[in-house]
Amino acid sequence: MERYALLWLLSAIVILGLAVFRDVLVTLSEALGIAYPPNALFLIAFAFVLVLLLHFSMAVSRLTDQSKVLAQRLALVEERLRRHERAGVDAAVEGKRQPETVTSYR
Amino acid sequence: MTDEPCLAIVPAYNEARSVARVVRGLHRHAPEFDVVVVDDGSTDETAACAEAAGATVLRLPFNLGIGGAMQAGYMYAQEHDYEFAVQIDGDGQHDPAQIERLADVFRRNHSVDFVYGSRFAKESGYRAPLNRRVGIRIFAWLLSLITRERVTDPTSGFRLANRRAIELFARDYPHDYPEVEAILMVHTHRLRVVEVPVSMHARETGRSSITWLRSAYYMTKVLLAVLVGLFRARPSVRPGDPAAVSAEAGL
Repeated sequence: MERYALLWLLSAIVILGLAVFRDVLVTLSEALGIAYPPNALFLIAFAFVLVLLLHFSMAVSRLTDQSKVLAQRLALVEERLRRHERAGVDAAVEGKRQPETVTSYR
Repeated sequence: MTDEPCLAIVPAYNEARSVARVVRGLHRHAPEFDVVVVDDGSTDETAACAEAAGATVLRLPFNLGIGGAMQAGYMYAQEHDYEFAVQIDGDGQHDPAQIERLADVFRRNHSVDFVYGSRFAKESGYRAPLNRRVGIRIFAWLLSLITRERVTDPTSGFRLANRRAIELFARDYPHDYPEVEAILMVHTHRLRVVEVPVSMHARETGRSSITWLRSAYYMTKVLLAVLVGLFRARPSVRPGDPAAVSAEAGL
């Protein structure tokens, strides 16, 4: 949430400001063609929330894609590692050297 | 095709009971295929059973779904330079002896890139439950219309891909409804797809958990995904891409 601190802060200031300075709100709602000024306030608040939601939607999509790739490549790397370790163990069994194994992250 | 390196990709999610049997079936009926089981974040002994049966195992750290799991398999296929990769479901529904039918198409026609087996192309005695059949028919009709080829079983996971298709799928594979979307994707990238009649085993788990409502919901989502897929290229993750949520871009 702190990442969007500025956007939240801006939204809060605008909405609070409009709520406190009623004349501004009235002028604004007349400009928008809204008969009942509080409705203008709700509209603006809603618009901010929509923008934020859109932003989050896109970020989540991206995160999902990147997370998927990480999972896949991790699986591939771990398999290569296990294969490598097994080869190391076989070599050690033939009396060549001590195998090093890395525990899998679970 | 026997001299070219072939891979069988077995996606499995909590299939500890059937996966060993599937692996052994592959060893017996399709010995020229190396087997890799993709354990899609199973919570049971799927990976251990597969390994004990002699398969290579890719363990995904959490469940990605069939799309993510198959893509991991295709990434493996590409990394290890396989020429052909066949998908065999971990539940035992696909018959490894039928792989020959798919391979035959490649032998007879070298311009084909992707072959999949249809349960409905010929009377094979397979009857899916009604709600699924209706859905499958609708997708089949839609895909036949779009690809201008005969499509009768777009949800079949029994498919064989050549090197070109492997490279495409390793890079980008549909996530949500892969079987149906993959056919469309292959067509969009101008690869040749062919359908072949095969017979499959019925799923062992008795009653389908898919209710009428769920089926309709699933169908609508796939239709939407297909239609959207027609109009935009799916953005895939590439090295050098910006972070999804970055400190500079965050407000």
